[in-house]
Amino acid sequence: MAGVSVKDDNWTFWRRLLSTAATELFAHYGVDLKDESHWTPVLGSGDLVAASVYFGGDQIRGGLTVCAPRSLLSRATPTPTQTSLSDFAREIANQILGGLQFALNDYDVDFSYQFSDPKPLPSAAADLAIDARTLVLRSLGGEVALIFVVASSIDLGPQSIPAPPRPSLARGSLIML
Amino acid sequence: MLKKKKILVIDDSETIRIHLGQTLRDAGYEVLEAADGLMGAFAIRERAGDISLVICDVNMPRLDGVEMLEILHGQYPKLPVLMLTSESRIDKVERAKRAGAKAWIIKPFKPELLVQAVAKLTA
Repeated sequence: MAGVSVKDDNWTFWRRLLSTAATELFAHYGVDLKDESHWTPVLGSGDLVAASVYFGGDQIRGGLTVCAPRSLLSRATPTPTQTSLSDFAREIANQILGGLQFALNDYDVDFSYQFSDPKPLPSAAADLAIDARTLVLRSLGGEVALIFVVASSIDLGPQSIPAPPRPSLARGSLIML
Repeated sequence: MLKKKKILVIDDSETIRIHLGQTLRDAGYEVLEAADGLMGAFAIRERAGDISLVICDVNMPRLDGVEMLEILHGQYPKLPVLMLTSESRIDKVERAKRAGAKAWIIKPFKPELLVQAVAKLTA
């Protein structure tokens, strides 16, 4: 069955969203990234670490892979000597998706994280066609590649009007319940 | 000598568990760890009387943090729980609150903010 592809305009939106989410997050971990990219090339060979997180919801499903040099991740991790860098890369991917989830609240779009025992997706999301792009962000210590695979029926192009915002929480905030 | 308060950290990321462990030990707490909601639920059942606070991620394999709280809250209503997560949806926050969570921090977190919240919840 042929699915719906992501529109070209939507890639502009995804690029901006990924770039903002990732640069803000890496800044928190002490790495200053600049978005000078090319949206497609993958990193050259080297001592790279990668990890992926998958997600799915009514109107969207996909995955995000974070790939970066070991040296850059060693510099960014809060526990430089004690954990595997692939675990930290997975946590980075997880937190970037958290940033996307936060931004997509404005479009009334929601998704949950998928683990090795994923919950079944609604059929509408399962029928969407997958597309994939790679965003490369550069720092003095090397490049970070975000390989973004997504199937989405949402129109996020410049002409789209966001749904009324609903309340959600900003990164780093504390709420006493 | 004053007995250190024990905090149970439940997160599937080893990086986060170690980072939290270092931060909390530096602040004078003793730290126990569990790698997902299921192991967290077992740890709470075994040591609830001994634990002053649970710090729990939301999105984890096997059993997520909110589901774990919903299972356990009726049995340990006095055990404070702080959710530490990338998850920012209000409906999840409200579900966690109904299940007994007392605070919610969005990752990435600043260690001083976390220590401040922990001090408040264990006072």
